Amino acid sequence: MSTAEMYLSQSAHIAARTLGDDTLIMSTLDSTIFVLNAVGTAIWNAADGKTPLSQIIHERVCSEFEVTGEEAYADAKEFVGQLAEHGILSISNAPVSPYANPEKAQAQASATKPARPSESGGIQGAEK
Amino acid sequence: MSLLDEMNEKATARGVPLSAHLDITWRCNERCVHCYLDHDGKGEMTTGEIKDVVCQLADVGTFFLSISGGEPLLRRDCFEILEYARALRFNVKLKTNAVMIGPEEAVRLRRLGIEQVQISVYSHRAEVHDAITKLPGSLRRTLEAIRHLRTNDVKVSITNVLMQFNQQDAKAVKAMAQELGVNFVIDPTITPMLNGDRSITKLGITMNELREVMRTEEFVGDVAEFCSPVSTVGDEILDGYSCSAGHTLAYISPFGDVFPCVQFPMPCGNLRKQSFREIWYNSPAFIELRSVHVRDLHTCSQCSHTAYCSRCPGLAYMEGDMRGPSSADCQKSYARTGIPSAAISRAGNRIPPLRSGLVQISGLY
Ligand code: SF4
Ligand code: SF4
Repeated sequence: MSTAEMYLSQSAHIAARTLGDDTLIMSTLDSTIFVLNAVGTAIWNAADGKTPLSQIIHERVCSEFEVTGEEAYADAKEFVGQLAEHGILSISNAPVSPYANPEKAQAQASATKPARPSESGGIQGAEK
Repeated sequence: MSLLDEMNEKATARGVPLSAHLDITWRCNERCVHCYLDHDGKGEMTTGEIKDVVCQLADVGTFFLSISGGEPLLRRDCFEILEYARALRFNVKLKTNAVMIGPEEAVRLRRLGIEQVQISVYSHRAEVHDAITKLPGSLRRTLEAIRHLRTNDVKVSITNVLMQFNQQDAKAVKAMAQELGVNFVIDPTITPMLNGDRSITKLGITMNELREVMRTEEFVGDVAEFCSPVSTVGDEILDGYSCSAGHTLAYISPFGDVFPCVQFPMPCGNLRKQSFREIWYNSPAFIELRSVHVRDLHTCSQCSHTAYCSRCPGLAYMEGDMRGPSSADCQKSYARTGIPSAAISRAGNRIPPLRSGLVQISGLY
C-alpha cells in the first residue's frame, strides 16, 4: 500500500453530514462518532472510489490549504488508515464503483488555515 | 465535552437544525389511552412530498432524523422513505409500536443501518399493556418484534411511559429490557393533546409516586446526587436556552406543518407553502423563540432550580406563555428536591395537584 496508488470509498454503513468546515460521521454498526476537520472533510468528500489519493491531495488539499504535497500525503495516509480501521472508509489499489451516494452536494470545506487532517473517535451513545 | 456536544454547540452557533423529528402519519393501529394525537390521515403528505422534505433537511444540515407517527409502518411507503433517508446519509431512528415488524422487516431495518428502533412498552403483563394500547395481543407482537430486531443486531430502546395503571410495573419492564438486551427509558410525561385538550394528563402518576420514582436508584442512579439542590446560577446558564427546540431541533407533522418540537405546538410555517430553509431561518415564530434566553424568563430566571430544571418551553407555551414556567417542571423540581420553585412560591406555596398538570422527566437514563 505504501507505493501503490490508493483509492478511497465511503462505507455504506455510516451517517454523515458536512456542517461548514466539519463533517460529522457516525458508524451505523457501532455508533462510533467521528468529526473531521476542514482537510479531513475535503478528503472525505472526494472519496469517490475513482480518484486516487494523490490527486485528491493535489487538487483538494495542497491547492486549498497551505501545505506541501509530501507532508499532506503522509498525513492523509495516516488519516485514511484510521478511518479504514473503523470501517467507515475502504481503501483499494484500483478504482472501485463508488457507493451510490445521492446526497445533494454539501457545502465543500472552505480552506481558512493550514490544518492537519485529524480524526477523533469515541464510543458514544446516540442519545442527544 | 463530547464530540456530539461540540457539534451541537457548533450547530447552535450556525443555526443548523441538526435534529429533525418527522411524523409521516398520525394514523395508528393502536389506540393508547394517553395518546396526544388525533388519528386522522386526511391531507397527509405524499411520498414525493415527504422525500422532498427529507432532501431539504439534508440540504440545511440535519443529521439526526427521527421517523415517527402515529404508526409509521402503516404507510406502505415507510421503507421507501427510510431507504431514501439512509441514502441521504441521515442517522435515522424509527419510532414504532413494532407490531408490524416481523423477521423480514427486521432484516430490512438492519440492512438499512437504522440507528435505533424506539418502542413503547407499558408493562411486562399483557393485560396491562394491551389495556393501555387497546389492541389485544399487542404486547406479544411487540415483544416478538423486539426479538426479531435483536436477532438482527438492530439497536432497540424501550420507553416505559408511567401512568397510574402501570407505574408499579416499571422495575419489571426494566428487568425485561435487560433480558432482551435493549435500552430502557422511563418517561412520566403525559403530553396534552395537540389540540389543547388536557384531559389525558389526568392519567399521569401522583406527586408521591413521582417522588418515589425520583428516589429509586434503578431509575435515577445516585439518588442523593440526583435529588440534591444546586443553587448557583451563572451567566453561562442565564445566557443559554431552555432546550434545543427551534435552535437545533425541528418537528414536522404529516401535513407539512413545522414546529420547534413535537411538544411545542407553536406554528412556524407549512412546507406546502414555503421551503424548510425559509421557515427555519425567516419564520417570525422561530426568530422570536431564538431571542429568548434563560435570563428573559420572568419567573424561571429567579428560581433556585434553574441550573438543573428541565423546564420545557413547549409545555410552558401550552400553558399560555413560552417565557413562563412549566408547571409540570415546577412539580418535578419540587418532587426531586422538596424545595418549592419560584412559581410555586409566588403562588403562596400552593402546589398544584399533579394529575391536573403534566409530568416530565428527562435525563433519567
Ligand atoms: S424541553 Fe420540551 S420543547 Fe424542548 S426539546 Fe424537550 S420536549 Fe421539546
Ligand atoms: S422549577 Fe419551575 S419556576 Fe423553577 S426553573 Fe423550573 S419551571 Fe421555572
